[in-house]
Amino acid sequence: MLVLSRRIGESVVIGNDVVVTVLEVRGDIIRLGIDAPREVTVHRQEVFEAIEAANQAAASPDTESVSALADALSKRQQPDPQD
Amino acid sequence: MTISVERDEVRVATTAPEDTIPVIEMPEGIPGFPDLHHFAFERLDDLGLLLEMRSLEDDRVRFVVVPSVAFFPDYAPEIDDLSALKLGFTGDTTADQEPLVLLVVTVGATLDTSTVNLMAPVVINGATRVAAQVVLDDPSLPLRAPLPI
Repeated sequence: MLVLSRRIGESVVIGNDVVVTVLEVRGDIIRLGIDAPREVTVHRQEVFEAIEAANQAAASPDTESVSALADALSKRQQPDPQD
Repeated sequence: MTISVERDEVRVATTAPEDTIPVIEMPEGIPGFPDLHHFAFERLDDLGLLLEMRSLEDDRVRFVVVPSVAFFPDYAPEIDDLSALKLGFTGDTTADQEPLVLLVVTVGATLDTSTVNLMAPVVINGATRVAAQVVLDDPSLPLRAPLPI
């Protein structure tokens, strides 16, 4: 891992077009500003990993559970059939 | 012991052709599935509350999603400027179409144990059918919220 020291207001350039700037340091919290082209996505690592894990857990549920959920929802929507 | 899988029961509800929502394009894929870019929708119930979002690149991968408005009418995700721009929203409220917001459901054994992801909704630009799962910058939004009954 490349390790660099930066002061507030200073930046690092990654590749040709990603610029990360230290905006503020307060205690153990550092605010970073990131300028990147549109095609480069930037996420907080732990948040992105949590969403990846949630999607993997949600993907391709078994058919019976989906049927049960659809049934439960249809009962919820029509709790009191008048006829 | 033999475990049989009833493939015929894959469809929960009969789906009329007119119920099929056209394909959406997710240029960045979906977190955890970065190589899947096209998904087709199918209704899983008569009311259109429960939808299946199936990958066209890998038809083994499908998600169950719900329109946010049906379950969380007050949910108003604030989408960052860059994500909005990528989705083709100009920020001009007179020109932009209202985005369609879907929530990914993690289907549990019962309604009580099924959850929805409020932290990262699937946002669709209905005019272009470009979509993304947008990670919201709001720590109060849960990744696993119970489905309100």
